[in-house]
Amino acid sequence: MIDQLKAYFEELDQGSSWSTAERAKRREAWARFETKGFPTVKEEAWKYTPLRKWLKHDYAHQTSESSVAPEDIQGLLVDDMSSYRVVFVNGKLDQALTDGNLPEGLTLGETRDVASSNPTLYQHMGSIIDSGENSLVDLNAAWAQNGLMLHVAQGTQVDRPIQVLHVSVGHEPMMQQVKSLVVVERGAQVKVVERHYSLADAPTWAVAVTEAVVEDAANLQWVNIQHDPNENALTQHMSVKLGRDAKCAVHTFSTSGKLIRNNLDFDLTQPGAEAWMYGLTLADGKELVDHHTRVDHSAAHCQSHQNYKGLYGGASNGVFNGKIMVHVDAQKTEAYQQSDSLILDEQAQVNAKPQLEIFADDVKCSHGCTAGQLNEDALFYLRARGIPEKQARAILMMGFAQEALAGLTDAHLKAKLNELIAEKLKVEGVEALELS
Amino acid sequence: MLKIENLHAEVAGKPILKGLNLEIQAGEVHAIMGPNGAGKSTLSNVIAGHEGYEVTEGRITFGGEDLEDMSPEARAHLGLFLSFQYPVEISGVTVSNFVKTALNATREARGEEAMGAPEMLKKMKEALAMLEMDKAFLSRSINEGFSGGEKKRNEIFQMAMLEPKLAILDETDSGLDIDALRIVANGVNALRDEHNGFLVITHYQRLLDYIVPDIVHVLMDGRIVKTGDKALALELEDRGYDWIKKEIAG
Repeated sequence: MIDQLKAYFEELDQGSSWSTAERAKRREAWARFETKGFPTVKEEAWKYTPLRKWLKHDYAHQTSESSVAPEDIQGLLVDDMSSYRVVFVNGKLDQALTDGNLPEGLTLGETRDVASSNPTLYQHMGSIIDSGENSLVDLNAAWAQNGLMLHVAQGTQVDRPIQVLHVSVGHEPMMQQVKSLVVVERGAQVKVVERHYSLADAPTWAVAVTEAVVEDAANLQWVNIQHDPNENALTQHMSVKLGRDAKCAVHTFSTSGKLIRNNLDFDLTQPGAEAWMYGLTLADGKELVDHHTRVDHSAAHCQSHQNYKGLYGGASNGVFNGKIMVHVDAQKTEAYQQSDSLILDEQAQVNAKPQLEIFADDVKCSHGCTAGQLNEDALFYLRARGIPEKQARAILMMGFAQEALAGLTDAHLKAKLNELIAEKLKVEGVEALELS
Repeated sequence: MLKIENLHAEVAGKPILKGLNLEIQAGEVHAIMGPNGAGKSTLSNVIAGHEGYEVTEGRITFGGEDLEDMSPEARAHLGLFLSFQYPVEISGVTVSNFVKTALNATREARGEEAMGAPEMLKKMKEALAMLEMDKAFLSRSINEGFSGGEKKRNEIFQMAMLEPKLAILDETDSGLDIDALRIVANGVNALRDEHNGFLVITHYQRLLDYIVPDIVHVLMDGRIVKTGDKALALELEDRGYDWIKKEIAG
C-alpha cells in the first residue's frame, strides 16, 4: 500500500503548483511517514486499534469532480438551526451548498488557497500539531490538498454557529485527506459543528487533521458529530493551541462508526487558558471507537477538564487514553479527567488508561475511570414508579449520555444530538423524554 | 387490600423473612418497627418486586391479585408505591420528566388516556405547595445533589402525583430534621383517606407522633412478633426491644 501511495505522492508532487517551500515541507512529511509507516497494534498508542482491515482497500486517488444535491445532505446537518454552512464534497468546497453571505470578520474558505490568500495564517499550518506517534498526521501533511479554513477576526462575535460538512461521493474506495485550519483571533468568539459523512457506495477512510489557534481571550466551541453507520472509517487528529484567558470546548459525539479514532491535543500556552473536552461514545456490533487526548499545561493558572462517557454493546470496543502533562512552570494548574463506561454486553470491552505526568508542585489534578453496568438500583427505582423496564433502561442510558451536552445551548442542536443518540440506543419517543 | 401470608424470603441465599403475616385494609395506617436486621427493608423490597430478593414460601396478594412473578412496574400499576429509604440519584433526567413518564406509563397500563400538560402542571404545583417545595425543583436531575430532606420530599412528591392505593414508607424519617419531618408527615396526612392505606416502616417512634398509625407491628427476626395500637410504639420507645425478646422466649 505504501508503494502505491508513494507513486501517487510523486505524481501529485509533479503535477502540483506548490511553492518551493511548500514542496519541501510536504517531502519532509512524506519522509517521516515513510519511515514510520501506518500505525500498527505494536505501538502503544494503537494497541487496541488495528487499521489492517482499512489498509486492504485499493483507494482511488483521483476522486472525480462531484456534486451533491441539497436533498442528498438533508438530515446530515442540524437542519433547523440557524447557521452558516460550509459543505465540502470530495474535499472541495461546494459553492452551491455553502453560504456566501457572511458577517464581517468571518472568513470561511479552503486551506488550499491560504498560502496565497493569507500568508500570515499559512504560517500556522503544520506548526500547531505534533505528529508524534500518529504517522497519519505525516501522511496528511504530505498529501492532503484541502480542508476548511476558518478565520475569525479580532473581537468578532460570530452570531450563528458554523456547520461544516465533509461528504464523500463515488463508487470506489476512497481515502479522504482533509487538512483544516481554524484561527480565532483575540477576543473573538465562534461555535462550530463539524461532521464527516460518506455517501459513497464503497468504503471511505477520512483522515482529518485540524489545527486551531485560539488567541488571547478568544472562545471556540467545537462539536464533532461522528455518526456514520456504513462501512467507513474516520481517523481524526485535532490540535488546539490556547492563548491567555482563551477558552475552547470540544464535544465529540461518536454515536456510530465502524472505526473512529480521535486524537485531541491541547496546548495551554498562556495563563488563564481553559480547555474543556466532552466525549460521548455509543458503540455496538463490531464498532471500535478510540479516544486519545493529550493536554499540555505549559503555563501557570490554566484549567483542563475532560469528561468522557461511553456505552458499549454487542462486541464493540472502546479505548480511552488521556494524557495530562503539567510542565514545570505550570503552577496553580487545575487538570481533571473522568472517563465512565457502561458495558451493556458480555463481549463488549473498554480499555482506559489515564496518564498524568506532573512536574509542577502546586497543582490540583484528578483522574477517575469507571466501567460498569447499568445501575440496577436505578433501574428498580424507575420500574417501581411504574416505568416499564425497556423504557427505564432507555431513560437511564439517555440520562447517562446527557453530560456530554453540557454547555451546548442551541435547542435544535441538542434535539439533533438526542435524536442521533436515541436512534443508536433504539429508544423510541425521545421527544417525550424532554431531557435536561 | 394487602394480604401477606407466611412469607419467607431470602437475599443471596440468606433467609431474612421467616413466615411473616400481615393484612392491611383500605383506610388503615400500619407501622412496622423493629431492630436493625429484623427484615424491615427486605419486606418493603419484596412487596415492591425487587429481583434481588427471592420469595421461597408464602404469598402476597394485593387487591386480590397474586403478586408472584409480577414485575415492579406491574405492581406500581396496581397502585403500590414504595418510598425508598435511599432514593437513587439519576443524572440527566429531570424530576418533572420522570414524574410525567411514570404517571402516564401507569395511566396507559390502566387503559386510561395520558394526562395533558396543563392538568399535569397544575397537579405538580399543588403537590409542590403542599410539600413547601420550590418550582425549580422540577427541572433538577432526579435526586442529584439533593440533601437528605429534599430526597425524601421528592419521594412524597412522587407519591402525591401517582396517588397510590398503598404506599410503603421505608424509613422516610431517617436523615430528616424536625422541620423536614413535619413537612413530609403533613404531605402524607393530606393524602390519607378511606380508600388508601399506608405501611410506615421506621426505627423510631418520633415519626409516629406526626403520622399516627392505627396499628403497630413489631418485626423481629423475619416475623411479626407483636401487634398493638399506637401505645405499643410509645412503649417500644421507652423500653426498647429486649422485653419483647424475653416475652417470645418465655
